[in-house]
Amino acid sequence: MQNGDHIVTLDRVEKKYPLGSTEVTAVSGVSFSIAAGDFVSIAGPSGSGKTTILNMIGCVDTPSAGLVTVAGRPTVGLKDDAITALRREVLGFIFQSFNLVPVLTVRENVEFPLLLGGGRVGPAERAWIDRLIEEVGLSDRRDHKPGELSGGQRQRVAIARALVTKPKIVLADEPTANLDSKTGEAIIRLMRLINRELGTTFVFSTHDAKIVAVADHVIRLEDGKVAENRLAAPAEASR
Amino acid sequence: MNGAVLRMAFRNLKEHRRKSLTVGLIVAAASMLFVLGSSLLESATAGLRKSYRDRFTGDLYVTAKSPKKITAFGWDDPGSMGEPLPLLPRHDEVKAFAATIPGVEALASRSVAFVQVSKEDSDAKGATLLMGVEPAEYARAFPEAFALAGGASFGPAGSGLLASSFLSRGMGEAAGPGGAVLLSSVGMGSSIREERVLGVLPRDGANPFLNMTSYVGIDSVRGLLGHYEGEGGAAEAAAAPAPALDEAELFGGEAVVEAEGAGIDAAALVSSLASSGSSRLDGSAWQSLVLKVRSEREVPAVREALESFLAREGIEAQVRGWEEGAGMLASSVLAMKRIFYYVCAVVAMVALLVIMNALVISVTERTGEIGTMRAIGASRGFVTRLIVSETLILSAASGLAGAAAGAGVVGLLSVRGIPAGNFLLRVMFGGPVLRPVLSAAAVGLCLLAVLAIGAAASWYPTKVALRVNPATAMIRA
Repeated sequence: MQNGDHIVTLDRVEKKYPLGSTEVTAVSGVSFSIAAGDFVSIAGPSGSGKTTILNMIGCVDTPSAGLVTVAGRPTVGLKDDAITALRREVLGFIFQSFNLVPVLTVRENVEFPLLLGGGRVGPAERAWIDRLIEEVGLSDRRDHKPGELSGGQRQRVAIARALVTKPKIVLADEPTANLDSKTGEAIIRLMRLINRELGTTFVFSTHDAKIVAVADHVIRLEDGKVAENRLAAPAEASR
Repeated sequence: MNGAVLRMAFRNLKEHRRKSLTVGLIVAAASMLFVLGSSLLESATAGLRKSYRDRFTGDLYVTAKSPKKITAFGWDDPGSMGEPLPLLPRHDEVKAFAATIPGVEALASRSVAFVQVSKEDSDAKGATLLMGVEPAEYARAFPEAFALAGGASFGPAGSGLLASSFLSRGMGEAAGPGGAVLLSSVGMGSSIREERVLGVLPRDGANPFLNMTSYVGIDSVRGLLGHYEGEGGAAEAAAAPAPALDEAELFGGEAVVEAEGAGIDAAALVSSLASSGSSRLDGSAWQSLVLKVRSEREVPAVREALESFLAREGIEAQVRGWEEGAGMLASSVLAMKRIFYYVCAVVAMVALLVIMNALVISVTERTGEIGTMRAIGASRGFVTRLIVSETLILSAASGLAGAAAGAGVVGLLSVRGIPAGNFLLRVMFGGPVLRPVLSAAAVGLCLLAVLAIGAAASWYPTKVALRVNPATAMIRA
C-alpha cells in the first residue's frame, strides 16, 4: 500500500495525552496509507484510537511522534494559517453530532466553507450548492435552520457541507452513531454514492460491523495499534 | 465574507436574545444618562458662560500676577474682599498689543472696589461691588452691561453711577435715579466720594451675585482706591502734609467729604481733596484688561499670543479664562462637570466588564460551534471578526438607542424647562429655568465611547475563542 496514489500516509505515528502527572498513550506505532478515492473504514471498539487517528489526519491534532502526510504535505510543523488552509481546501469534515452552525439555514450551512475561503460565491458555486442539497434530498428544507431538522437530515446537511469545497478527502467521525440504523444505512449509502461519483476519498471511523462491511479498505485498531489493515475484495467492496 | 460575518453576528445576537437584551439595556441606559447629563451640564455651562462672559469676564482677562486667585469681581477669597486688587503693570502697552491680536473682538479696562453706600440725611445704607470703567469703551465690549431697568445711562462725561438692582432694592428711593449717594471704600481708609445715581440696572435672574454690581466712571474708583499720579496711593496721600484748603470745595464742592453722622475726618478730607484735583489721578491705573474674542475656537490662540507677549516683555501679569474670572460658583459647576465625567468613566468601566463577562459566557457556550468553524477552515481572523462584530453591533445599536432616548428626554426637558428651585440651581442653570440643548459633541462622544468599549470588551472573549482547539470542540460537540 505504499505508492504514489496515496493521499494519506501515517508513518509510526504516536499520540500521548497528559493525564495529571502521567501520560496516556492513545495510539502507538501506527502506520498505514490510504489511496485516493478509497472508501476507508477505521474500525475498533471505543477507546481504540479511531477519533485520534481521524483528528491527526484532519490536522486538528498533531502526533507526539511519527509523520502524517496529507495530500503529499507533511502536517507536522505547519503554521496555523497553513493548517487552516489545508483543512479548508483539502479536507471535509462530517461530525458525529453533525455540528451545524445553528443560526444558519441549510443552504447557508452548505455555503459556509466556501465563504471561509474568501472566494466569491458566483452562479457556478450556487448551482453546485443547489445540486448538493438536491443530492442529499433536502431541496424542500433549504431555508430551514438545523433546529428544525431531524438527526438524519442534519447529517445529510453536514455531508453536503463537507463536499461543497470539492475536497480530496472527507473525514467522518462515527457519522451514524447518533442515527437510527435505517437512517444510518441511508447516510452510508449516500456517502458511498458520492465516493463513486466524485472520486472523493472517504475515511470514517465506526464500530458498526454493517458499515465496516461496506468499506473497500478496513483499518482495525485495538488499544491504539493497527490490528488489521486490509483491502476488501472487489465484489465485496462494490456492495 | 464580511457580509457572512455580519449576518452570523446578527443572528447570534438574536439567538442569545436574553443576554443581548441585558447587555444592550445596560449600554443603552449608560448612553442615555451620558447624553442627558452631558447636555444638561453643557447647557448649564453655556448659560453660565453667557451670563458671565457677556457682562463681566469676557473670554479672557489680564491682571497682575498674584499668588491669590483673582476673579472678575475681585479676590476669589471672600475674606480679602476689602483689599484692593493690584494694578495691571504696563497696562497701556498690554492693551495696545492685545488690540493687534487677530480674533480679538473687543477689549475694555476695568477696576473694581467693594464700597459701602449711604445717603446724606437718610438712614438708608447699602453696599455694592463697584466697577470703574470707561463707559463708552465698556458699552462697546459689553453691550448688555448697561441695559437699564430705569433712569438714564452714562452721558458723554462718563460720570455718575448705574446702581445695581440689589442696591436699589435695599436703599429704595435713596438710590433711585436723580439722587446722590456717598460711596466709601471698605478696608482702605475712609475715601469717600459722592456720585449722582443715573440709572438702575435690572435684576439678573441668572445669578444673584451679578445683581450686586454697580458701574461708575473709572476716576471714581481710582479716587476711592487712591490711584494718583506719581504717588504711592491713598496711604501716601493720607500721610502727606495737608494741602491748602479751599473753603468752597470743602463745604460746597462736588466731592462731599463728610462721612455720615461722623463730622469731618482728616484722612477722608485729604483723600477727597486729592480726588478733587489737588493731586492728579493716574490715568493709566487699571486693575484688569478684559478681552472678548470673536469665536470660542480662537480663544486659545489669543491667550497664547498674549502670554507670549507678557513673557517676552517681562510684564508681571497673567491671563485667565472666563471660568476663573467667574469665581467660585462657576468653578463649582465646572468641578461638578468634571465629577460627572469621572462617574461616566467608572460607568464605562463597569459596562466594559459586564459586556466582557457576557461575551465570555457566550463564547464558552459556543465552544463546539467555534471549534467546528475552525475545523472546517475558519481562520483565526474570521473568528476574531465574528466576535468583534457581535460586540460592536450590540454596543453600537444599544449606544444609538440610548443616545436617541437621551436626545428625546433632552428635547422634552427643553420644551418643558427645568425650574431652578433655589439659589444654587439658579447659578448652576444660569437662570431661573434651564432649557437644555442637545449636545452634538456628547452624542458623538457617546457613540465613540460605546464603540471603543465594545472593541475593548471583545478583546478577552476573542482570546478565549481563539484558544478553542478544533479537536476539543469535536469531542465536546
